[in-house]
Amino acid sequence: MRTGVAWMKDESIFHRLYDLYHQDVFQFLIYMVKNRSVAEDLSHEVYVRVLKSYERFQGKSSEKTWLFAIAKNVAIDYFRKNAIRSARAFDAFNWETENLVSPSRSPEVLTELNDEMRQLLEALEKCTGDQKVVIIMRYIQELSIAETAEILNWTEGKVKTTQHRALNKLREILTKTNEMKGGIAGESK
Amino acid sequence: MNQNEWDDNKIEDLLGKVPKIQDQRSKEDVFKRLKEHGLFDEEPITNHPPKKPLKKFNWIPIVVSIAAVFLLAILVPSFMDQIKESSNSSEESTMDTTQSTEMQDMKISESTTTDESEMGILNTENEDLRTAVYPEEVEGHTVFRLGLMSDAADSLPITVLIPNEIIKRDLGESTPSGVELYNQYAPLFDESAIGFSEFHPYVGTISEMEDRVIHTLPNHPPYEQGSAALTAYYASLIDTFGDDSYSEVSLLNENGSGFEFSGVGEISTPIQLNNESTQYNYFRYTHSDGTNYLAPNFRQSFSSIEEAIYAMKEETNDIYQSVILPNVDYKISVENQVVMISFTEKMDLMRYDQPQVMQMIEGILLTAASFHMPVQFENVVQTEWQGFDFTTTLPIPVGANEISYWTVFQE
Repeated sequence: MRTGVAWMKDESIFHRLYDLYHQDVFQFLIYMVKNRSVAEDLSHEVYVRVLKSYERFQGKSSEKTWLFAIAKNVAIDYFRKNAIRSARAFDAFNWETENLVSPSRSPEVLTELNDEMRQLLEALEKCTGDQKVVIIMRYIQELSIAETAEILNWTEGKVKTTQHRALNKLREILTKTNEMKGGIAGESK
Repeated sequence: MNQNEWDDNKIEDLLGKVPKIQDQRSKEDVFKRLKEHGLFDEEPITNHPPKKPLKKFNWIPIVVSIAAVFLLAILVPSFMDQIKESSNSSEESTMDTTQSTEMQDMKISESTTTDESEMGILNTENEDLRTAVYPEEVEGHTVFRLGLMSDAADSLPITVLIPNEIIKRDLGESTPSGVELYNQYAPLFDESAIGFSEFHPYVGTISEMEDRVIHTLPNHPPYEQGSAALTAYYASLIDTFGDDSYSEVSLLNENGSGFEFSGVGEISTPIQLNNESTQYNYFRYTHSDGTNYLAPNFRQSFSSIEEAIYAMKEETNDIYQSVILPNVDYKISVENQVVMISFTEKMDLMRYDQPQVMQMIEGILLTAASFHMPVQFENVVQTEWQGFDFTTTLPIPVGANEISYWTVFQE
């Protein structure tokens, strides 16, 4: 059972984690779920889990990768809950192979992007879950291969392979989109 | 547009330029919401009585119980013989009180050394019929949970309070995590002492990373022998590691990638420990030795507490029996995060078989606990019964089916 001192400590942990990582974690969540209010809810959930398990954080990984690992789990849980599946509790939801597509509209910032950027982010939604997560972590969050491996509990080799496949997949989808557009433009001439 | 435009360099370049998106809420707003969630409260669990100052206090009833049972085991057989010889009518009255010997003796260790008629004599009004663990009992102990394999091929949650002196002796000064506790104590846990078949420790290794438990499995583990075995194994992981401190269990093979059970045909996904799929209601399970336990109904889960408690009346199989007493009806509402159970007719707890009343009360408390909520009962005749104060909110049980440390661990 926790003492008053422990709860006061939680407050100072919150302030420190917020100052150091809040915007990074929030950005990761919003690129995962593409919805501001969902990202707000999930960032709340991240703090709840972090503060409840902070006593067990023993510095085996860095605080940053530990926090991101929890954020990633919270985001995957969100997709799992939204997945339309039968009511059986143990039905499979494999985040690495599923598409992690948020059912809601994109936040305002992302609707005002130029064509290419928008196409790229749309293509990201068509990648598998593991590819999407790796792209967001490596390029948008600018996490290193070692950090990404630690967060996902993967080997660095798996991160590199997944990143490579993700880039291939993006190129393939974007090229196809271009061809289709080109085709339609050609037919209309 | 030329398709060569989309090469890796361009994609990487563009990905590096995606707009930065900031949380527009202030730090105070984020903090306020967490505070409202109760995260920084000094006392997260409402209404548990002030802690007892003496750590050793809780030992006394245990020691007394053990001594009493041993004494009875020695004295009662000859005592009973005497009664049989002297008077048949007095024997009948003794036997009347043996009807409800099932559940109550779980908190008393070494129960296997005595038979039912002996236990009947212990069944006085002062006996503690509670079978779950409550917050006030935890002081000085560490909570150890396990999902045992029942005869119904399902996991049965049990809770052992390990005295902190023993934890200190075995694991040093630190507060061990759930996984450290498991690795230390699961191999020593003697399932056969309470009539269960050998199941723990799990094959392979149990480790942890952040808020995840990792079970690394060898090829062809015993858990894949049929879908029932697999479902029961999953349920046992939930019962063993499903407190608030972990969010999921990842199942890996020895190479570190996701485990694929033969016959399932796809890589296993992590087992969720704390979400809607683990919100259960509780039923009575009678083990082959006649002992009653409270357990989820084959892991049927509910999205709302109201639904879960109403469904406690419905038996959907032969294994799990309803703990709601016959002809007892109630209304459920949730007020300020407290589940209010209002009996439709004035509920006189003394009118019923006492262990059965306890099963109903504890079944409801455990069901609400699965939703992380406390319960307040309304329209009960007694203001106090078996340590429960019915004028206020009852504490959230810490775990179901308490088993004495001394029964299942060989010292």
